Amino acid sequence: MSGLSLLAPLGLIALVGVPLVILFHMRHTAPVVRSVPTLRFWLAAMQERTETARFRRPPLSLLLLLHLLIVAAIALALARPVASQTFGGLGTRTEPKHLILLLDGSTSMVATDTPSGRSRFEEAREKALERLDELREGDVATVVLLGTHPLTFEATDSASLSSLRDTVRRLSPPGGRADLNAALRLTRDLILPDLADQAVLISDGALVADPNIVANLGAPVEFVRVGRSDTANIAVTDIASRPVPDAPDQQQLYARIVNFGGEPQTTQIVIAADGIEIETRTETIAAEDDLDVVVEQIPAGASSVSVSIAAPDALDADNTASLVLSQEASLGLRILLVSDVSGYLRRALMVLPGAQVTMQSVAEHLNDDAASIEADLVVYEGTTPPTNALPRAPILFVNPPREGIFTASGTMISPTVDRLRARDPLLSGVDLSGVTFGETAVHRLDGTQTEIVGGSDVESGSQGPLIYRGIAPGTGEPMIVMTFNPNDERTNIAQRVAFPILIANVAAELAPSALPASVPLGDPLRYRPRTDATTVRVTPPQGEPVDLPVSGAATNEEAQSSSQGLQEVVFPDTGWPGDYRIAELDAQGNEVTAGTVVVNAGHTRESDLRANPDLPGILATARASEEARARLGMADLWPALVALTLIVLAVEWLWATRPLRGRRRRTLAGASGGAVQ
Amino acid sequence: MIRTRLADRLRQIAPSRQGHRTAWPTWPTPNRDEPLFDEELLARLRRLVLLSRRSIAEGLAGEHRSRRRGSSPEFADFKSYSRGDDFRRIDWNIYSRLDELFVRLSEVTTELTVHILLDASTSMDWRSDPALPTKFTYARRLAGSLCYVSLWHFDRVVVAPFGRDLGVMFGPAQGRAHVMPMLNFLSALEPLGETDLPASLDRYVRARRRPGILVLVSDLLSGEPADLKSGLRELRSRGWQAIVVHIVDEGELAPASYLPTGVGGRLTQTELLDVESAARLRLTPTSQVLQRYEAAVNTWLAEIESACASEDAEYLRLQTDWPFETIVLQLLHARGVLA
Repeated sequence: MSGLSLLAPLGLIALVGVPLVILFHMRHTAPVVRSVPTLRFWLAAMQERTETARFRRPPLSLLLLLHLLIVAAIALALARPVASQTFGGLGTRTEPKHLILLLDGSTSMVATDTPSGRSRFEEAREKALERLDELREGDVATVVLLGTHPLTFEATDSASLSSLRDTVRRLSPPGGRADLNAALRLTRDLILPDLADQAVLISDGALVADPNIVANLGAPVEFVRVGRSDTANIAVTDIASRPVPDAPDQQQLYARIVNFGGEPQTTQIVIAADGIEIETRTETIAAEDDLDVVVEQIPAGASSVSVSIAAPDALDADNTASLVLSQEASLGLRILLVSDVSGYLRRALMVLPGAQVTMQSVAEHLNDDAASIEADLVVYEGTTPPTNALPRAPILFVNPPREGIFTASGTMISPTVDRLRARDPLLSGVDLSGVTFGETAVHRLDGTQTEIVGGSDVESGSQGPLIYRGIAPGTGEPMIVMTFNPNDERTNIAQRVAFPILIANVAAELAPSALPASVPLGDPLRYRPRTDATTVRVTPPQGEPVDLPVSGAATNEEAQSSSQGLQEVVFPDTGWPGDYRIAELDAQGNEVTAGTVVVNAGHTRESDLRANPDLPGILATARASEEARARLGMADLWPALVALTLIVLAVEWLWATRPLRGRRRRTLAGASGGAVQ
Repeated sequence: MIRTRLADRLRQIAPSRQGHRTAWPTWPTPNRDEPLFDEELLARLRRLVLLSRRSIAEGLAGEHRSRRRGSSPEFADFKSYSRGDDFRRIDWNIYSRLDELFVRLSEVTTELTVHILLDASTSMDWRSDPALPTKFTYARRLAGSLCYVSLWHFDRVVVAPFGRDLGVMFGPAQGRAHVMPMLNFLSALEPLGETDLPASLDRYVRARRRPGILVLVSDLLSGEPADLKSGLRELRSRGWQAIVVHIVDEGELAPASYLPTGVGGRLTQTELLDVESAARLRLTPTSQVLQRYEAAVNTWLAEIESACASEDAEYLRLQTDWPFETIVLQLLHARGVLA
């Protein structure tokens, strides 16, 4: 019998009671003696042979069968039978249970398409509480709240379990995009080998699971779906802006509206700038299709723009998307380009997100006071100032002259890349294969400088750095030096994609990043504040401000890769759509600068409220380990057997005490016969 | 005064408790402390008279009228004189008026001899319910009642207990002076063991030259109905008036009432013990067995009743659970035994 095993097989010894019961029934018991005046009528009534032997053949009576059933049930109960899936419903669990509740808190769970009219998350929360109520003493519960980042809550005893229930009761959906795979990986780490682990996913099913992760989870996953599986929705999933090529002061708006439903939808689209409606359209979006909305010119001076659709649906949050068109200047990336050439370098700097590029000629720059320069990054192209005139800001030197701060020890006529520092952040995404360089000076590096990319010249046999990192003399500011001339005809790197990426990497390393105009729902807000900021205060649209210490935001790897020591703060909780106010605070807590980041709810994954039809099948492949499977889901059947025994005893009692048919007392009149007339 | 002494005597003659005569359990045990009579019953009995369907004359004058005409002072009729008549009975006054001889006839009052054949077998000393009297007690009470009525009216009484053979008899006795000895006799009477009714009946009848009223008080478990019929035929041929009083216990008719029961009142396996023969029978009294038992009993009763009817014997069946003072006496009256 598959799925049934005995924890104490010795208990089957009690089956010796079976022959004992049979013997008991075969034995003639000493009957009660009753004296009678005569046996003549009894002898006439006795047609069967009088049983006088000590034993008789086993009587096939209902009592014998019931007794045998009782003995068998008791013996089986003593053997502690446990069953898995087949008979699991009949018994009680044998092992303490570790319940891992995966509670989907993504944005789609805010949809109100449940029969009760409540949100999907409220339904899921109620089901989670029901599961927690089923736990008993010794069980362990872990609740994983799926949002952009999974949050875990754990309870290991009765008190903490009660506290966990209260916590779950107060939970609100964190929003964002639920990363089920990350949650499953976390579940795999949470598994307790000594307990019967079981994961329960309570979700709308609008999730994607990696079959490999599920298969190696080490615990079965039960999927509890909330909400309808076919709810249609329309959402603004993308919004972006760019300067108009012919009028840099004006912006173009681009938005995408997607119909996540099987029927075409006609909706009104409203575009507003700074809260003022500037355009209204009525469009029909085909089923399973999207619509691009382009607004050629947004009124100049508008600081924000929004796109809204008027079609009511189950998820209102993604019916509007906003965009911040301009931040305060202090939150932009201020770049001072000192060059006499308006070439590739300038274009690469200008496309940096949020960059405000100021170009100075070399002559103008030399006339300025270095102390008055207010820039987040100073770029010198083809020139270097005197050492005492270096600004107190990170510096990028491109094609520095042979005389001045740097002294060339030679020349590489046509160097090629033969050395590079693998996995250096500067080279992230930069493909240097096939890149050629023109005549390049050979710099000798000291101990404080690190070669990032090195080249060698086959003709001259010389070699030297092409890109290196170091500290600016006199100021101690970080600097990056590119020894080649991007404007040289023999240098082809400027025409390649690698060059703007390289410049972007340089800016990312040396300068604080500009505040993004918008952040996709659930994506962490990564932001590198100014050097004088010690705290970044993020105020979400709902909730209390969150202070992020600048020093502790960056990971060790990032800190090591950044010679300047600029720390990146990461705000992960962007699950709620709306405006997030970002403020930089100095050491005294004074607000230095502030800006706004918009998080829009519309997302191609979260706005699609329909359940993933493959998800249940994938989750069904989750299995416990072989060892755990032996215990997992095993139900102890002895209580059921004891109950069966009691039922059989009750049946036996009812049968034994049933009224005897035909037993009636002779009435007076009937007994008198003909004697009484 | 006499009544008070009689009541005291009745209390004294109540039998003492006897031990079991057999080693085996014989539940229910008879209650020997139970008095046979009380004063109220005796007062009622004094108003009753034992009736005879036939004139059975005896030597002494009694209170029963006879068809025989005799010479007693009580005038009955005249008859023409015929030779051989007693001259002393000629009514000369009529001769003077009618010039014809008539003999004066007077009614002869006779006494009645009541023979009570009392079954004293062990089977009679049985009861199905401790609250009931044994058949033996009930039979002695009946015999005592009949004897009391008879003695009170100057009838001659014989009480003959029998088992396998006839036991020590009481009587013949006549007159009210024998009431107390009769009651003492019945009270002291003990069961005599096994019984042989046909033989005892035959032996008793053959030993009597003059017929009388024979009251057979028995459970009739000895012998077959045919044997009873044969005995009754013998009685009838000898001029006896037979009255068969059949004493039965309710448990004999419906044995489920005294059989042992298990859980829920369900009958369990039982070993039956014949109180006379000590024979044993083990059985499980199923409903089928009980039905067959009752059918056998009913057949037996019908055969006995038929035997009595065919031999012109009065048959009365009395159950020991019937109240003696009411139902039994009414029944005896209704059946013409008592008046």
